[in-house]
Amino acid sequence: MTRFLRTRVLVIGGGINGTGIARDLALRGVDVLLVERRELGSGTSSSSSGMIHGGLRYLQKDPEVTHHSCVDSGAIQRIAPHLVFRIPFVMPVFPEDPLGPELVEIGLEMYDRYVPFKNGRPHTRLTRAQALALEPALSERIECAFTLDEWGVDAARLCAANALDAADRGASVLTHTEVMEILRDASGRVNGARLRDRIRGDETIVEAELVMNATGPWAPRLAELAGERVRLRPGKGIHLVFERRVSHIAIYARGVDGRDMFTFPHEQNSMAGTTDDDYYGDLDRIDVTEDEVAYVLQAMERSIPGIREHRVLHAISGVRPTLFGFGAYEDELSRDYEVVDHGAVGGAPGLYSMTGGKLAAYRLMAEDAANQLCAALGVEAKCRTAELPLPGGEATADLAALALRFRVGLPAATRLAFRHGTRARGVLEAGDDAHARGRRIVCACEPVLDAELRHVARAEGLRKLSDCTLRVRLGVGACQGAGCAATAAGVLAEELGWDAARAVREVAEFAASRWRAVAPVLAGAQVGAMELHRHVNFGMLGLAEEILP
Amino acid sequence: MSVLVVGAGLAGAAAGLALAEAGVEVVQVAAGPGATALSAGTLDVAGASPGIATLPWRDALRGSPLLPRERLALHRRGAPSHPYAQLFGAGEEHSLPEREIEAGVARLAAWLAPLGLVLEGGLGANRLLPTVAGTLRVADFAFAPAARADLLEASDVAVVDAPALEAWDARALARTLAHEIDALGLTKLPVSVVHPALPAGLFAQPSPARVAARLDASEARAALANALTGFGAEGRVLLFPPVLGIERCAELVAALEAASGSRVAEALSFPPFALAGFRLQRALDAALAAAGVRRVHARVQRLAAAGDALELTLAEAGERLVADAVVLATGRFVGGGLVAGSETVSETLLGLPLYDADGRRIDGIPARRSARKGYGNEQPLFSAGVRTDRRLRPLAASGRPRHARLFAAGDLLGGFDPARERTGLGVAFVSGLRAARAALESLRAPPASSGGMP
Repeated sequence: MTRFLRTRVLVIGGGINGTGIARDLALRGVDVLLVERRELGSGTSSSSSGMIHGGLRYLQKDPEVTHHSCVDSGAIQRIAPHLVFRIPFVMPVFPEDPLGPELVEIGLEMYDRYVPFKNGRPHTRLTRAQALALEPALSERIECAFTLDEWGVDAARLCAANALDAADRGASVLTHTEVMEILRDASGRVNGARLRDRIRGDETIVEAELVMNATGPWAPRLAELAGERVRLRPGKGIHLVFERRVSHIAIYARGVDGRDMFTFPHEQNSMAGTTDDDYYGDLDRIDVTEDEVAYVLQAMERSIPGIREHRVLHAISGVRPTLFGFGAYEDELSRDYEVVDHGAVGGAPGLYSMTGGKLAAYRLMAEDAANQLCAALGVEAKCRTAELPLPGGEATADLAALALRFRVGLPAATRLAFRHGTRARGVLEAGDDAHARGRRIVCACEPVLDAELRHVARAEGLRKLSDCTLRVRLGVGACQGAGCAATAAGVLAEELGWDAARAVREVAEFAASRWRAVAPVLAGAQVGAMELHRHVNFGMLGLAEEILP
Repeated sequence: MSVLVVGAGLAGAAAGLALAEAGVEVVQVAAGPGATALSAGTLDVAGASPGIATLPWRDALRGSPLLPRERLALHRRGAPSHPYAQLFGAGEEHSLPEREIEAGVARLAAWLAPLGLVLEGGLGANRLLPTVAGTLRVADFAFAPAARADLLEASDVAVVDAPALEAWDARALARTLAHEIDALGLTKLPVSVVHPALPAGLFAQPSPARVAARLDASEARAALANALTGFGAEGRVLLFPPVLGIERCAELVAALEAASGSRVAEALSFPPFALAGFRLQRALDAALAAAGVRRVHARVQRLAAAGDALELTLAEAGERLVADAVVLATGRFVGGGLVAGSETVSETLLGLPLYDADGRRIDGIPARRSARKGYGNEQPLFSAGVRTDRRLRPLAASGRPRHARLFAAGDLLGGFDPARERTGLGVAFVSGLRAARAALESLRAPPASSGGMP
C-alpha cells in the first residue's frame, strides 16, 4: 500500500547537513519532511573525528573556513552545551621538523585570533620538561611543545538533537527510508519523490515544493536520480578507537607524508586519525584496509612511542563529500562548501544539493542553505538556530541530584545527561516505575540504562538495535555488545512491538555489525574478547541461523 | 612418576583427575581460572549441530531430530583435522567412541557429585534448554540446575520475574521462548511469567553474583522456598535467572523443588552473568585438591626438556618444576594458550605452529589478516590451534612430535571452532581424559628419545 504525503521542503539525508537544514527550516515555520536511508548521522557525520575545531591546518589555504568554523563552533557550544567537551591539545616540535618552534608559533599566533570565537584559550609554549610532565605519553625526543584548545562533540547525538528539534517544531522525520525516485511535473520541475521504508518495505509518495539533497558523499548518486550531476572529490578517512584513554589530552602527530594527524580523547575512548584518500569504492561498505591502519599507527608512534601497547577496539570509516578539485592532493583540497541550485546550473528546477563542508560549521552551512530555500519559497522568517538551544541544551543538569533522586550511579547519570541534557530527568522519571526496571544498567561499558533505551524508542524514533551504537553508544566497549545486545533487544522489542523473531534477528545483525568494525584492527586482548563474543552469540544464544551468511 | 598439567580449565582438570586416580603425582600450574569459568552450564560433547552452515539446528530438530550420537558421528566424518576425527577416527564403528564418552562422563559426574554439582544427560537423547534471552539450545549433557529446564520433558514453563536484576527480563524471555517453541512445532508447551513475592531485599539489587551469594545462606533459602509455595504444578519448569546459589546450589534447588512441587531450573547465561561456569570451575578446583593434586598459582615462563624429563620455569619466582610428562591445556585466546600481539599470533609457551580447520598456518601473521569478512563465516582465527599426533602430542613445524612426553588437550587443539559447533567443553573433557591416558602409556613405556626440545 502506498501512502501520500505533502510537504513544502523534502530534505534528503539525516546527517549533520540534512538535520541542520531541517531544524533551521522548521524553526522558520516551514513544513519539512526529513528522510534518511539508514540511522541519523550514520554516514560521514559519525565517522568524523567528532571535533568542532577551526582547523588549524586550513588556516594557510582556507582562512575563511577557519573563521567560520571557529565562529560556528562557538554557536554549537551555546546551543548544545551538554554534547560538547573541551579537548586541549599538545603539539610537539621535534628536532627534525622543517618548521622550527618559532615558525610554528607564528602560525599559532595567527590561529589565536580565531580562537576566542570558539571560547578557546590562546596557545602556550611549553619547554620539553613541561610538556613531558603535562603529558607523559609524549615522546622524549621532542624539542618543545605548544598547547592549543579545541572542542569535541558527539556528532551522532548532534544530528539526533537537530532532528528531534525539527520534529518538535512540526517536521516529520523518517529514518530507514530510501528515495527510490525523484518526481517531476510536466514542466520538468522537481516536485517530490517516491520513498521506500527499508524495514517495512512499504512506499510513500511525497509531494514537495523543493527538494534538498543533503546526502553528503551520496549526493552524486541522489542527483543522478534527477538526471543531474554533482561533482565531488570523495575522500575516505578512518579513525582507530582505543579501549580507553591513550593520553590525558590530545596529541598532534605527523604522517609519513607530512600530514597532520592526532590522537585525542573522545567520550570514553581515545581516537587516532585520520587518513584522507580519494575513494571510488562502495559508499555503503567502506572497508578499513591494513594500509590505513598501519599508516595511522606509524604516524602516532613518532609522537606517542607506546601507542602500539594500547588496545584498539575497532575502527570507524567514512567518506568526506569534499568539493571537486583537479590536480591537488587530497589534503590540499578546499574544505569549503557549496549549495547548488539545479534550476540555475542544471535542468532540474526545485532541486538543490549541498556539497563540501565541515562538521564544525554545519549550522552556518545549514543557515545558508535554508536562506536559499526560503528565498525560493518566499519565506521571510529569519534563521534562529544560533540562539535557540537544541533539545536538552537549555540549562545544565545537576548530575549529583539526578543520581541521588533516581538512585543511579553518578557515571550513569553523567553519561545520560551528556546525551540528553536537561531531558535526562524526564528519561529517568519515565523509567521510575514500580519495579524501577528503568534503573537497570543494560550496557555497563558506557553505561546505558534501561530507561534510556526505552526513551530513544518512545521519544526519539529509534528503529533498530544496531542504531543504538550511535544513538546511545550501546555495545561499543570492550565486549562489543556480547553482554548487552540481547538484553537491549528485549527492551526494544517491548517498546517497539517486535515479535521474537525480529528481536533475535536484531541481535544477530548487531553482532555482525560489531565484527565489521572490529575485524580490520583485530589484535591483542581484543582477539580474546571476540572469541567470547562468538561463544555468546553462536554457542550460548544459539543464533547460528540468523548470523550465518 | 609425575606429570605437570598446565591450565586450570576442564581439559587440564580432567587430565589431572584421571592421572591422580591412576596414582601419578600431579602438579597443576595455572595463572588463573580457565575459560571454563566463563562457560554457560552445558557440557556439549556432540555439539549442537555439526556443519551448521548446511544443517540448521532448528531444521534438524523438526521432523526426525538428530540424536547427539548421530551428531558426534557427523563430526568424526567431517574435517579430518577435527579433534574427534583425530581421537576416534572417521570409521563406521560408533559404539566404541560412544562408550568411551559415556564412561568418561560417568567419571566426571562421580568426581563432581560430592561437591554438589550434578551432571545429567546422555548421547541417546537431546535436551532443549532455554537461555536468558529466550532462545533455545540443544544439549547432550548439562549441569543442574540448567539441565533441569529440559523443555522436552516439561509440560509448561513459568519464568520467574525479578525486575531489579541485571540481564534478566522475564517478559522478553517468555516472548522469545514462546516463539522458539512454536517455530520448532513442539506440542503445546505454554510459557508464562510468574511473580512470586520474592523475599524483600534478596532480589532487590542488580548484581546476579551478589544475589547468588546471598542465596547460599540457609535463611535466604528458606525464605525463597516459602515464597514459591503455590507456584508449582506437575511437569512445570520454574525458570529462574542464573542466581541459584554458589556453594549450596544443590541444596537450594532441592529445597525450592520440595516447596514448589515443580522442577526448578536456571536459564543458560553467559559472561559476565554466568554463574554456572564459576560453579564448575570451583568444583573442579575442589575435586583436584581432594584428589591430592598440588596447585601452583603462577604463569609459566619456559618449558624445556631436561634429559628424559621436562622442566617448567615459573615466571615470578623463577622456580623450576620437573616432571616426567607435561599436559598442556592452556586454551585459546581467552584461556591464554594463544596470544595475539599487534603483528602476530602465537602459541604462548613453545611457539608451536598453529593450524586452522583447513590446515593453513595462522601463526606469524597478524590476527587482522586472518579475520575474514562476515561474522558468521568460518574464521580461521577461531578454529586455530596446535596439531597433534593420534596420541595428542603437539607437532613441531617438521610434523614430528615436539617431545615424546608432551601432550595437548582442550581448546589449545586446533581444527575445530568451538563457538560455531558448540563442542567446546566436550572436546576439552574428552581430550583431557585422552591426554591423561596417553601420558600414562608414555610413562609406562621405556623412555624414548625425546623429540628435539630445545
